[in-house]
Amino acid sequence: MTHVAIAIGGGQIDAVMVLNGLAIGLLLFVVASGLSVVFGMMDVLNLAHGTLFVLGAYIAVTFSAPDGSAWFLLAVGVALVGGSACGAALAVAVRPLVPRGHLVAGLGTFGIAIVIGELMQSIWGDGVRTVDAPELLQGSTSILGERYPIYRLFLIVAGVAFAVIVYLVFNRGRLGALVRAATYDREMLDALGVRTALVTTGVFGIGAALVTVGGVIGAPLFPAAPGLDLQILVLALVVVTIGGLGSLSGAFVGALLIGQVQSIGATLVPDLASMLLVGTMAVVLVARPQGLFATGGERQR
Amino acid sequence: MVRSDAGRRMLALTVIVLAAAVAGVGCGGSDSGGDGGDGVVKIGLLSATSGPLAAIGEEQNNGLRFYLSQHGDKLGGHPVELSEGDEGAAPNTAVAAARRIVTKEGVDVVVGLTSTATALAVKDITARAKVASIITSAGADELTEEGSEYVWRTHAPNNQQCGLASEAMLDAAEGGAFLTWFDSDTGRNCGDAVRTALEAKGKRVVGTAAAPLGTTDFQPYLAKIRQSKASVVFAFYAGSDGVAFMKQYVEFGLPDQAKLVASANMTEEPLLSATGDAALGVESVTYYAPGIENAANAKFAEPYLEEYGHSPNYAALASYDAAAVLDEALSTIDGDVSPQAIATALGKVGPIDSPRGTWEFNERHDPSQGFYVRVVKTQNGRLENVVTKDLGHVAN
Repeated sequence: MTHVAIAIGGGQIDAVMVLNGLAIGLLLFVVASGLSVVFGMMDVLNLAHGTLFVLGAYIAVTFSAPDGSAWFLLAVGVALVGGSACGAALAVAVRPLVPRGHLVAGLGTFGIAIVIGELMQSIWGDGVRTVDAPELLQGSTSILGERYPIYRLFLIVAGVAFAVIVYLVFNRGRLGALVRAATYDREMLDALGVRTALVTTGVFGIGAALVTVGGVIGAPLFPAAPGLDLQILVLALVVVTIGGLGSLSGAFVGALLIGQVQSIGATLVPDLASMLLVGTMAVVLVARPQGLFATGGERQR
Repeated sequence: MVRSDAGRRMLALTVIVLAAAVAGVGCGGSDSGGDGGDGVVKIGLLSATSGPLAAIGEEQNNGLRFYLSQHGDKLGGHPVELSEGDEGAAPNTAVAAARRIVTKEGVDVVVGLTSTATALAVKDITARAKVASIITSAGADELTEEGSEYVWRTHAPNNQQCGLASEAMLDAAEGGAFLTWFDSDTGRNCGDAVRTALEAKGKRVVGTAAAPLGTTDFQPYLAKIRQSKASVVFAFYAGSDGVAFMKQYVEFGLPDQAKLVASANMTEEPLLSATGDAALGVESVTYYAPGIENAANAKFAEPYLEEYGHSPNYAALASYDAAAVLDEALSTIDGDVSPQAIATALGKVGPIDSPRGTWEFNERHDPSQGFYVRVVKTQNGRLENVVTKDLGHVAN
């Protein structure tokens, strides 16, 4: 059994750590992509984003079964539908606030987040709820001399598949063209006769569905508990800030970067572990204040 | 003598009011005979009923209520009135709640205090108001360092309990011990206490790691444990972090390499059920386990399980004992209860026959008690902490 490792600083980085960073990073991409696109398109920072992730986690808790894997697909399906509905509702609720500026619209989503959060707590209680991976994906396997959970390998596969689909839809599909146009210059798109309200509501819904599904597939890793929504929101915000608000490629690079930072960083600089997230963001923003892949065409409002 | 009508009416009214007042006091006084009794005692239940520690706060309240339900809602012969405050998730909410129940509602004693941060903030308020508080969960050592007559604790101080965790680690420490905790003063002090105890017995510590609060992916830390080749691991995490740690410890195959000894909060309910089978075989050291066999526990553990659907954890037990302590203290107070009377009476409380065994307050007002090594096993169809070794009474 070969064991691949490099000794750096106070610890050893091994290949499995990098792999793990990839798994976490790809999950973060699924979660953060919706946040980034919605901001780029509607100028709304959806602060209910983390709450939707937790909703997905609780959906997984509800459907979770000790044997079999069918519950997993069911939970994902419910999350897709439920998440889209929540997203569309959020878009409709927040649209009247958009003309009043970022702060008001953002606060609107924050208020909705609190309400949904309390509702969830009254349904699922305030304790920690955990979920085991579906039976097919349970257990661990030997990778490069170390035991690694099969479920995390699944996350990598799912994440890569998602990234590929998103790339194709965005860059080759009509929907992608519409979204990019809406991000770049919505008034022009309106003038061309496209019902931008539908586009924005639709994309809001898709972004919300994605983060809710993210909550389902992330549930075996992130125990559902009060406070998780804020944790996820902060992670997603850091990712999109680093990547550049409105940019999907930015969200991708930012997510992978954060995944690696959290994975390797804890070993390289253990004393600074609590500051890794914010520290990375600070470093990136100093170098490029608008984020790594800022969307061009800043609209003047 | 008063001559006018109005004057006479005034005089008559005054006499009636005075007579009623004297009669009232007289009634109160004359009815109380024998041990304590009569005056209502107002207990302020201040614990986290919202936020990440809500599950513990709930257990604290349950423990005290359970004792009351077993004793006709009276302590020391005095009827009890409960006033509840939510500590919330941060010191500022706790301070507001404490002010309300101490100043506005005028409680005679405060019981609870879930987290160390809030306890530190609140104890100054209660001490200044000369109201005693009995801490049933917050574990930081500095809370009782002054030995103030207004601060009492029925829960073990962290550093003592952490140091004793080493007792469960000694038999597996040939390859060295790895210590890990959540990054904070509390975590670090605990880790240091374990290290001191291990090194005093000649065992090596081969590595340490502190993970930020809120860590969900422990792979980097588990990799570090693997690289250190330690044969025993001590972990101290709070809430869902602890659950994630124990699950991932198993997922990444660490049990093949090292035995896991966890701080007792990690293997207590409700976290134990949340962790599930990943907790099997994990050992911990603390002052209570539901399976302890003595007369007091026979009246506590099983009936509590029947009432609440899960076994009592340390917070429920500590609160149950807080009620028992108050029961004894209040039995020495006749008539009306005042906060100062309670504070003074607490100083005279003797050994308590508790479900944990017999214990009493030491000069710092922490419990002087015995400890047990426990391991998580499946028993009676559910996961339980089973006592494997009685460490006996530990001096502190």
